[in-house]
Amino acid sequence: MAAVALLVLLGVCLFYLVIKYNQLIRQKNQVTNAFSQIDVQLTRRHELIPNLVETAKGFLKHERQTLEAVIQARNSAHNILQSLHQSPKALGQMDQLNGAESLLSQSLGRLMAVVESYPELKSDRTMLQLMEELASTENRVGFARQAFNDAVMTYNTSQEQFPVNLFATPLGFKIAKPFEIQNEEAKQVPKVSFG
Amino acid sequence: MDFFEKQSKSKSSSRFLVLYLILSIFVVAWTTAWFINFISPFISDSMNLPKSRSFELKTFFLVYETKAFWSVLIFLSLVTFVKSLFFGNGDSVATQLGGKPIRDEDRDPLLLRLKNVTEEMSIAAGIPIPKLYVLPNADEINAFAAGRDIQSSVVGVTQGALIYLNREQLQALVAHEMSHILNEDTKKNMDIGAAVFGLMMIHRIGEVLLRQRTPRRSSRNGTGIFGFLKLAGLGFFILGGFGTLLGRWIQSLFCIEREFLADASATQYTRNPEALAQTLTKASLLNGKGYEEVWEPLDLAHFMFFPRLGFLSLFFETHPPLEKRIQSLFPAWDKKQIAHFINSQPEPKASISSEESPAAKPREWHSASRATSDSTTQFTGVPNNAVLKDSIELPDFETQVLGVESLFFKGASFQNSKFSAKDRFGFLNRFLAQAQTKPWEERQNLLKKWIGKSQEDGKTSAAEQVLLLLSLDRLTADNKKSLLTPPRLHQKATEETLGPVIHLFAHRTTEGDERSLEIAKKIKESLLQEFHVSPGSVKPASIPTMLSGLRQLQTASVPYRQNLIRGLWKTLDKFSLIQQDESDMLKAFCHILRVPIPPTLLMGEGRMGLSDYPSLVSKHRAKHKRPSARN
Repeated sequence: MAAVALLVLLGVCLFYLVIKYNQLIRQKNQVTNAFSQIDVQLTRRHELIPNLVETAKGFLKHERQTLEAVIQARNSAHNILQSLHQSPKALGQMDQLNGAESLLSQSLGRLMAVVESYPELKSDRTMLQLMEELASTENRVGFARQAFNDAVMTYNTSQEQFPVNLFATPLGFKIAKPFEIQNEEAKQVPKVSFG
Repeated sequence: MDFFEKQSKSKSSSRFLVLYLILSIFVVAWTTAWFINFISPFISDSMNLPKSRSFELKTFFLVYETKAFWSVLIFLSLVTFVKSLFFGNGDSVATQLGGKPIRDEDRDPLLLRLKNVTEEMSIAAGIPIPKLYVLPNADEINAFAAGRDIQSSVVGVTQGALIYLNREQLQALVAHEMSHILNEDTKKNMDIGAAVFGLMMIHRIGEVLLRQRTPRRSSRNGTGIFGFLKLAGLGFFILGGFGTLLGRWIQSLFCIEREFLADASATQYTRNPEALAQTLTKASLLNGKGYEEVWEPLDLAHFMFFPRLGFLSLFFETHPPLEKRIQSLFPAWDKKQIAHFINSQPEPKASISSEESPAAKPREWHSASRATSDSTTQFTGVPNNAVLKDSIELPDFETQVLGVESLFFKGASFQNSKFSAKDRFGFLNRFLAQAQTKPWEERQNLLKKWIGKSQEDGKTSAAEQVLLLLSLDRLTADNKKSLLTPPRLHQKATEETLGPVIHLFAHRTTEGDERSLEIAKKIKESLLQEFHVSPGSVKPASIPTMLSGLRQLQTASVPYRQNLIRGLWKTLDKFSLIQQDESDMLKAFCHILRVPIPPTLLMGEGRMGLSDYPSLVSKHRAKHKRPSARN
């Protein structure tokens, strides 16, 4: 009798283990997916910026400096991203990329501020589309990071909860690291977004 | 409590609700089975069967007592299953609501913004980009999500939402709908709806049985059987009705819970609860001001972001009230802060009195004419938006307090030329709206008195005449309970009636001038091209002919009438200045045809957006103070 009870208990435990294991795997994959989404959005931003700047050049003849700063920031961020694609394990480069990306965001913010200061530009249809695209691009990167952080949080929470924390590490699950802005200066940048 | 906690709380309580629904289905099935068991011996007795067969029938039900239970249960699940098969393909729901799909090649800036926002939100929520729809004929702020699974779901947004909401508010709206998709609310709602439908079928069967006529002469089996059939019908009717009510109640609780869940998830995606609260407040300020409710089937109510006017709230609400939704977005706020937030929201463009907000401030009597209080502007050109500023006239706070009588006396004193023609029409507008609440005799008396007064000074405008005469007309019809006396119009007949009506609209008096000729021509073009209504020949006609034309148009379908008003409005909008009496006439038409008065001049695709977009942008930036929680 006791043996049967023990067997049943063991079965229940095993069942629980399988369910929790599958849940963790699912969440881990969500984290990976969210991470690659950031990559997708950064690449999209890099590809879009030259076009946008080209359009803006027609309007902002006297703002060559701002535009060049954007292109420069874009190029350096793009290069780091490319080299990261080739050697994904390089951890130091991750920080470099974050720094370059926040520089890019900063320069884009400056560009938008410049456009704001030309009232006659704001009613131009092409310019409006340009602004919309810029805002959307920035938002996409932001939302991709946010989604990544949310996924990391869910994943970490289910790993650390009792009793999962007893077997998560032996089964090879690791606490994931959320995205953070290391660069102190970049934290100061106000989020650029407009109505 | 943060939005993650709120989400899990909502999820668990809606799980309980589903459990309750299943329980109540079992209870109804069991009671029905018990009832069948209870009456079956009587039925078999009353059928006057030969002894042996009667015995068989009795034993069949009694011996297989559980059989009845299972058969009711199987019946219920079959109905549920079949009903859910026919339910809620995303595209079909969107089309039913009057949606048009957005194509990839659409370059309209507002649509572009919607597309971008949706893509951003699908990144934030981690789901594939849903198919997008726009409801071009809906001027209110609303949205819906539908679809059986995440892959094939659709999101629809009203034209009003595109126009009135800024980028972040639109984002909040879309995020809310996205979370309905992600949480599979659309599917769950439809399944629950199907289960309730199953319960309703028992009710319906009872109804059918009750309606059976007892044959006058008894046939071989005797009359008894019919009596018992009726008894059975009554039992099913009551049990099924009880089950349906219970099911509906649980369904509405479920819907409300899922709304909270969607609000909480939307906050997770946007990290901007303020924008969502603003959207909700704007929607409640703007919605629900039509004169005739646009009837929507209850099945579709739960799809919407905000309860639409005229959804059958007879049974149960599908959405939590505004205050509660804002409370759950900002748990730290007390009632005062919420009321302050709601009241401090800028009115969306057109000045509307809010019916929902309990703290609506009483306004000065002349508030309706604030835009053009200067009486010299009457009958001269005024810029569109000045006229339109008060185009939505509702029985507002002071009219509700003061009542229709005082409104009447205030309005009737217009002979002493204290009021401009515009004020006069405005009063009539409010008076009519307010009179709707009065009993019939009183309404008729007041209206007749008004007509008498208005004829005294001989300054009645054509619009006023039309409005007065047709209101009296409708009142008479109301009394005879024959609102729809004229038969529904055929295509051909419509063309003939429309001619004189348009003539009246364009000319307003019997003699025409150049402007009115041009207007008439343009109306005809616009109706023909955009609304596929051919108005026949626009020829001069006497006022009675026009009135009878309008009378007949009252019976046309809702979309037809809406299109007609849209066509008229759009044509007027093409002129840079709208004359006072033209806008009055349009309002009169809206009253008569029971179509909401166009809340905005931004209805035409050509004008909307571009001219207003920059101002929206800069306005929003000015008070931009968003927490940078995103990174």
